[in-house]
Parts: sequence; structure tokens; C-alpha cells
Amino acid sequence: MTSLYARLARRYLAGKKGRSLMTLLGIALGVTMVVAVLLINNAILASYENLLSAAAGRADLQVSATTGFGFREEVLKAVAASPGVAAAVPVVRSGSPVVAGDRQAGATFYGIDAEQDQKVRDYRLTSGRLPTAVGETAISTELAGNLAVENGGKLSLLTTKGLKEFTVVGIFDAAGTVRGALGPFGVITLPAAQVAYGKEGRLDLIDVTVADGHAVEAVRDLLAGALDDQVRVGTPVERSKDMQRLLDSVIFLLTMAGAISLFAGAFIIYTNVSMSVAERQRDLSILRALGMKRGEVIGLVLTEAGLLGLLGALLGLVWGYGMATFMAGQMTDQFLTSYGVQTAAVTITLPTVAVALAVGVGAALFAAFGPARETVTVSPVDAMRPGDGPAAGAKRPGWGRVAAGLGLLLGSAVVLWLTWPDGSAMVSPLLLRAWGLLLVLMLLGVVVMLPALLTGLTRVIFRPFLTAIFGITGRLAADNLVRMPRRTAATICSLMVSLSFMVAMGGVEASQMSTFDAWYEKTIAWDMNVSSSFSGIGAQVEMDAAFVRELAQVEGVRLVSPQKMMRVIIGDGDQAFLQVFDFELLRQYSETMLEEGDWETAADLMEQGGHTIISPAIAARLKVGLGDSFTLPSPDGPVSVKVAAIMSDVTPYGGTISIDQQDYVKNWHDETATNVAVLVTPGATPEAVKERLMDRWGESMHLNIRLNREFWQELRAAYEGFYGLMDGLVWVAILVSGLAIANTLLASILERKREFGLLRAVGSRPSEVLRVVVGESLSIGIIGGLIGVAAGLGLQWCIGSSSQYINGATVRLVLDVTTIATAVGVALVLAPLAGLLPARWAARLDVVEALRYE
Amino acid sequence: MTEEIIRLERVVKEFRRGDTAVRAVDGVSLTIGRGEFVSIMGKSGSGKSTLLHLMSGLQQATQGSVRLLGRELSQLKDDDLTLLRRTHVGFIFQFFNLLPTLTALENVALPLLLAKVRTSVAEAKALELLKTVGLTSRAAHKPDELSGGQMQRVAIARALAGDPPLLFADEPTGNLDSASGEEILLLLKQMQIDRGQTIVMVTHDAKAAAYGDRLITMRDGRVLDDQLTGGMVG
Repeated sequence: MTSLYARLARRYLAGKKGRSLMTLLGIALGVTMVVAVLLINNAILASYENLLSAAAGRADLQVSATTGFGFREEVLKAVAASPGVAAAVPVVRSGSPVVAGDRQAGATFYGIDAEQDQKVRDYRLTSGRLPTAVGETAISTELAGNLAVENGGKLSLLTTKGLKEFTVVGIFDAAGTVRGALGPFGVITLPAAQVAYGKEGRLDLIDVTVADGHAVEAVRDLLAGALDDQVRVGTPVERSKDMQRLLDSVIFLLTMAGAISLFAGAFIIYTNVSMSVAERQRDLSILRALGMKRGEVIGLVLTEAGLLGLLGALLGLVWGYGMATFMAGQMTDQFLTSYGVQTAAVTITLPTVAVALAVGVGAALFAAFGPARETVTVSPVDAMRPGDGPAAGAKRPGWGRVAAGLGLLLGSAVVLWLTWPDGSAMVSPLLLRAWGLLLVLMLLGVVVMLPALLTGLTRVIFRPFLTAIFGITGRLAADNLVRMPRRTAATICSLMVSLSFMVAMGGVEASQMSTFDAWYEKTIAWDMNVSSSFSGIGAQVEMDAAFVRELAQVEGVRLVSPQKMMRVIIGDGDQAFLQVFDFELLRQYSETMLEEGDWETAADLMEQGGHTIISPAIAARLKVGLGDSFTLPSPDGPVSVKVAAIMSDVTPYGGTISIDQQDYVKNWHDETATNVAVLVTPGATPEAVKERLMDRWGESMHLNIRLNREFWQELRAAYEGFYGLMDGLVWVAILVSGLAIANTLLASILERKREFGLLRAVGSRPSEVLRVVVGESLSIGIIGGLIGVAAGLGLQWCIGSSSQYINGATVRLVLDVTTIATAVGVALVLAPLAGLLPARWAARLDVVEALRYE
Repeated sequence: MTEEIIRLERVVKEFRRGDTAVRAVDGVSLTIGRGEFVSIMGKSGSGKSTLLHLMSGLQQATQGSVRLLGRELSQLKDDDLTLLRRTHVGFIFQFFNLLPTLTALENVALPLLLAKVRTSVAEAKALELLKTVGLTSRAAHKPDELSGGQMQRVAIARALAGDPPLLFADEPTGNLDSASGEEILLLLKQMQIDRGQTIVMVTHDAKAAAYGDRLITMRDGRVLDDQLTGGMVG
């Protein structure tokens, strides 16, 4: 029987190449998106996990700083002396630009104790040895290759005091042993690193191995209890969860995009299978009359769908891999670097293949099951009778379905409303996923009630409207819309979801951009920003106070305002973004955009010290408001700060905390700056001052100077990079729904071939037949567009107004007229365009052929 | 003979079936005059339906000349042919070919509406025609609520909507029981007598063919016999 199924299915599919291809494309595109999103998500997380586990080597636990600028060296002694600790290995690290001759490279440099470090990591030296004295370095073969240096050669490392020369005393092969996943890197001695990165007396990390006979968890708890707030103890894997949390919203949006395309793809399958079933109702009935059981007929139809699903899934797997590779490159270039991910390698794993196949075949089978079951509900005798046989999807929609759909829609909306953030907590990853599920349920609600809605809309609006404009041909177009209400509704849904995604994403983008522009205009008022080795949110290598003082002496410089940006771990155990300003200086040239509080008062308070300005996300996370106090971990222990104001935050790093420099220096004992805001004297141009600074320090400090406008463009480009990717996903979804429309119309024309023949026979011109079909597709476009835009605006509101409780970024909602207009345009143009080809085909039908059609 | 309405001269129609050309109509010449009721008979595959399609302009001849109401069909563009059909020709098909979403009344009015006749005028005319075919009471019903015979009567009314001088019927009783079939044939005959309608009917049923007053018999694409029969009813 199976071979008979396969043979019948194969022959049928081969006989309908165009349609089979369309179904295949629908599935393939859907699977492509799912696979791409899956691979991207995995790549990002895996690369971060690799980063951590490679850096951790054989370490069971890691003691890391909560304050962002290392912790006091004394902690090492306490850790080493703790029971159950076999080895405690200190590390200082920094991303650094390196120069050798005329070559430059970016690398991570680790300050290590050569003897201790080998207890947790293997170094497969290809030549030389590990550094033991200040001024010595050993580098990975990759970095040696990038810089074209050999053992015994020299390289210069950017430090807080400018470029410092090191002698290469060893080269090691990093692949497969240590930090292989880190990209190019090198090691220097711990004291050298502490000096180079302005971290004298501090460490970034202690790798801990647990002695035999001790449980890792027990040692972790013991250490955590014994050490103060400035450090956190965890396994390397636990640390990768921070990353997951930060990227949750990005992953959520990507997953949504993937699901939407798959959704649209499933509609194509549904339409095609119902069409193929309708078309072959007689053939299938002959099979039944000849003795095939109902289940076997269903089996036959499902075999066909499954076969296409399988092929589509394989195709989607290949495309998805290509797309993920492209996207990974774009994403790391554009914005992932700011999360610390340098490379995201895309690899296809067995689970990915399994998911792709399950999704492709599953979607095909799921979409095909309804039409397949309907085939066997028609009696073979009825079906074999010549003339228009009953077809799948022709059932009238009942009120039960409307009620069910409405129930799903309203029920989900109520749950969403009940779980909506009230500003007292962040949205947990679990809740975010639950919301995703709610959105799917709401969509399902629309899908379920749309056939009835469509019937009503057609009766009340489309029929009178189209009849008034196109006469009888318009009337026929309107009638055709509701002849297969479920199928038409499915097509409308696929258009609706892609348009709603388009409107939502466009709206969120526009809102975020306008919030960003407003924020930038108010907040960033310096003439230029000076940093060494800039990387997204701040420098990788700090500049010391002496250098900042020298900067202020340069001709044309009116004011220098050192700033510090870093990640910290706050009271709730998660990351936050800490920024340090000298508010006395800051208020002279800029203002902070506030959500709550008054700037002048807040600035006065900040100048006094002991105060903070926080973003809404921090307020929610720590459950604090204006005038409340909370503590920040510092190397000197917890520092209490009082909330002076709540600010708008455009960074998606989970929340931002601003403190004054005097508090920072007092408690962190750090006078270095990640970047320095510079204002020029009246009469001097920023360009001229920039040139002067570059001439003097461009090379020795590896300076990076951005003029105000340049910085704006750079930040905008990062946003645009992200939304560009989203736009790409949106257009794939739209392409899929365009296919779905063309497909549905083709199906409906095939079924009504004889009617078109008749219209032509009784005197319709080809152009009039064309009008019937285009009218039909235009109606699909109008309904899909209307619901899509409405749903999109709702989704935009949801994403926009919950954003600050998901990733911390404040989004002030704006109505994005351009995207809405584009969506309406797409609906009004894409639908008739997609209908044009089938319409032309209908108009050119051979009349006699069509009339003979059964 | 009365005014000539159709003239065929050495008409050939070939179809391609795979690699071979099949001659469905092979050198047919004939003329049909106004007011005639012509039955074309023949076995399946004799070329009778193709001949009807050629006469009505639904298909173009491969060779020869087809003149309908004095116009050479091969010289007409598609739009002109459509217009000619819309205004001068009515069709009745074996499978009725009514549009399922329209009521009986709307189906009858369809050709008028396509010709941009005002809806009220078209529907008044359609109602009158439904009265002629005895279906006034079913005007608001959709095709799936009508019997086969009723559907065919609606189709006849539709064919007459534009007052066409010519009516083509392709196996009009082929899908009906004998009682309904007879009703339809009587109706056609009545149209010929009352309205002076020219009717060309294709059938493979000798009893049906006997309603015409001229019988053309076809075999293998050729006219085997063409004789006046006088008509069974009249």
C-alpha cells in the first residue's frame, strides 16, 4: 500500500509541477526562517558559552567582579585559603588593539601568573615559553599570523598610558586546547596587565579548581558566603545565562519573525492541498469506489503533503543555513560586539536538522489534514457525478467558530492585560515566552473567526462596493470571496500576519529612532568624544587621569569631561549598565532626558554626591522610586545611593545607573576614563581640534575621536543594522504571503474554470474576466491590510510600551505613517499583483476547453 | 431559402493530440437560414460539437471560411468576437453552466448586465423571460435549489436575454430525464415558432433531433447527410 501511495503521490505531484513548486517554496521559505532564527540564536549563545568555558579552561568555578572594574587583589588570598579550593588562578584581562610594524589587530590580552595559570589551562607552545617578566608576551598562532611576528619579535599593546612595547617570548597553538573560541589572544604577566590596564591592585577574575572530594556547589556556596558584594561566584555556565537574558528580546523578535513566515507558509500548503483534493475529488472517489478505505485515502493525501514537506524542509535547511551565516556576520558587525560577542559561528547540528524536518513535514501534514478529511466525507457517487463537485473548504462558517475565535482573542488579551508590567518588576524570560504563546493564540482566534467575519464583511461592504464600481463582474468577484470562506480566510491571514509584523516592526523602529534622536539631542551635547579603541558602548582600554589632564591643555579645548561606562551586577543578581559623569561639568553642556523628576534639582543632588539617576528598568528591578535609596556593590563594599531622578534610557542592556564621579572615585579608587567628552572654545572648530589631538596622540594612544555628528551616525547605524535585518525577515514573510495569494486565486480559478468559460461564452471580454479575479484579490488585500495594520499597531504598542521592562530601553511610541502607508500600499498592490498572473490566465482560457472542464 | 445567417465554406478544424493532428471537422460547407431549427447529429467524436463551436465563434477554423450574420469570423479580433456573441448569439449547454452564486433571475440577467444594461431594466427583462420558460416562482432561487430541467430552462432564458437572432444548443437534453428533456425541446420549438428564433442544436439523440426541421448527420468530421425533416412539432 505504501508503495502505491508513493507512486500515486509522485505522479500527481509531477503532473502539477507549478503547484508542487509553489507548495515546496511555501514550506521551504517558512523552514528557512525557522532554521535561520534557530541557528542564529544557537550561534550567539554558543559563542558566548564557548567564550566563557574556553576562558575558564578546567576551572570549576569563577570569581568575577560585580562592579565592572575588577575587585581587590586581597580576595585572591581569601579564595585560595578557602576549604575545598585546590587552585585559585588570578586573571586580569582586556580587549586591546595591538600593533606590530605597520600591522594592526584586535585581540584579548590576559594578565596571568604563568605557573598558576597552567593548573587550569593548557598552552600548546609551538615555540618559546610563557611570559615571566614585565615586557614579555606570548601570543596565539592566530595573532602571530595577523601581525606577522615571530618568536623574539616585538609588538605594541595599547594601555591606559598609550602604546607599550612587549617582546614576544612564546607562540602557542590555541586551537583545541585553551581559549580556542576566543579569537586572537595573548598573555602577559599579571603585574604587567595590572599596570597596562590601570588595574593596579585589582583582578578581573579568579579561576578556581575544586579539590578532590569536595562538591563544586558546596565550595561555591562557601565562597559566596565568605566573600563580599564586590564579587560573584559561579560556574562558567551560570555566567552565560547573563548573556541569554540580555539577548532574550532579540531572540524573541527573531523567533516571532520565523514563526510568522512559517505561518504564512502553512497557509500555502493548506490552500494547495485543498485545491489538489478538490480537483481530484473524482479520482479519489474512484479509488474509494474501487475499494480504498477512508483512512487510506487520507493517507494518500497526507503522503503527498508529507513528501513536499520533506523536500521543502531540506531546501529550507540549506537556505536557512545560508541566511543564518549572512545574518550572523551582520549581527556581530552591527550590534553583538556591544554584548561582548566577537564571533558567532553558525553550525548545523542534528537537533537543528530534526527541528527543520519536523517543522516542514509537520506543517505540511497539519495543513493537509483538514482538506484530506473533508475528501472522504463526500460520498463517492456524488463526487463522481460530472459537474461541479463539492470541494473542501466550502463549508459555511458557523457561529460556534466565531464564539471560539472571539473567546481565544479576548481570553488572551485579558491574560496579557493581567500580566502586563506595572513598573514594579521586569518581564521574566518565562513571561516573555508566555506572551509569545498568547500572540499565537490571538492569531489563532482571528484565524478561527475570520471566515465568518469575511462572510459578513462581504455581504455588508464588498458586494455593494464592488458591484457599484465594476457592475456584475464586481459582484461575481465579491461572491467568489466567500465561496471558499476558509481558504480565502487562510490567505487573508497570511497577508495579515506579515503586514502586522511589518507595521509593528516599522513602528517600533520609528519609535525607538525618534526616542533616540530626542535623547541624543538633549543628552549628547559635546563637540567630540575621545576614547582609545572604541567598541560600541565604551573603550576597551581606559585612559588614565594624567592623560585626561593633558587633553584639557590642548589649544582650542574649553572643557574635558571624563566618563566611565561599565557593566555591574546589582542587587537582584543581574547586570546593569553603570555610567559615571562629573555632573558639575556635565550640566554645563548637557542635560539628561528624564521620565520622572526635574533636571535642575537632580543635577544639584548629583553634584552633592550620594545620589543616582536611574532608568525605569532599574526602578522596576530594584523596586525603587524617586527619593528611595539602594546600594551598589563597590570594591569598598556596598555604597548607598539615593534616586534623584528617573531617566529615559535608550540602551538595551537591561537598565542604566548614573552616578557622580566623586562617588565613583571615592569608592572604586579608579580615576581612569573610558571616554572623554570634549567641548571646544568659541572660535575653534571641532574638526581642527580633532586634528590637533590626533596629531599628538593618534598613534601613541591609539585615539579614536568622534565628532558629535559622527557619533550620532554611528549609533543610528547600529540600530539600522538591527532593523535592517528585521526588515529583511519582514519582506520574506511578505513574499510568502504574496505567493499564498497568487496560489489561492489560482486554486479558485482552477475550480471555476467552467464559470470563466461561460462568462466568456455569454459575452464577457477578457478584460472583464480579469476584473473579476483582480477584484477578488483586491478584496483579499483590503481585508488583510486592514486587519494587518490594526493588529500591527496593537503589536507595536505591546512591544514599545513593554520594552523598558524587557531589555531596559525606553521607547516613546510614535505613529509611523511611512510604514503604515507602505503596508497599505503592499496590501493594495501586492494582492492585485499576485492576482494578475492567475487573472490573465483566466482571461485567456480557451472557452471551449473551459466549458468542457469537469 | 430565407435570409442566410450562417455560411460555412470548406471548413477544416484540426487539433493536435500529442504528435498527431486530428481533423475534427473536415471540409464542411453549409448554410443556415434565419428561422431554421437545425439539428446536428452524429456519434461521439463525429465533429458535431466542434462544428457548433466553429459556427458560434467559440473556436476558430484551421482552414476555410465561417461567416456569421455576414461577418467573416476569422477576421474578427477577440473583443469583436466577444461582442458579436454578446449581442447576436445565445448558448445552451449540456451542463447548464449557471453561476452558482447568482439567483435564477441574476443568471438570466447576466448577459444584459455584462452589456451594461441598467440593472432594473435587465432584471425586468429577465423576469419576463423566466415567465416565458415558466419559472417565475423560482426567480430568487440559486441553481443548487433547482432541478435539472429547471436549471436548463433558466439557461434557455439566459440564452434569450439579449434577443439574439441565433441560439446554439449543445446537447441541451443530455443531462436530463426524458420528461424534462421533452419539456426543454418543446420550449425550444416554441421559441422558434413564437419568436422566429434560429436554433442550431447538437445532439446524439434521434428523438431530440426530430424536433428540428432540418437534420445534418455527421461522421468523421464530414457531413454525411443534410435533409429537411419538417419538424416533429409545428
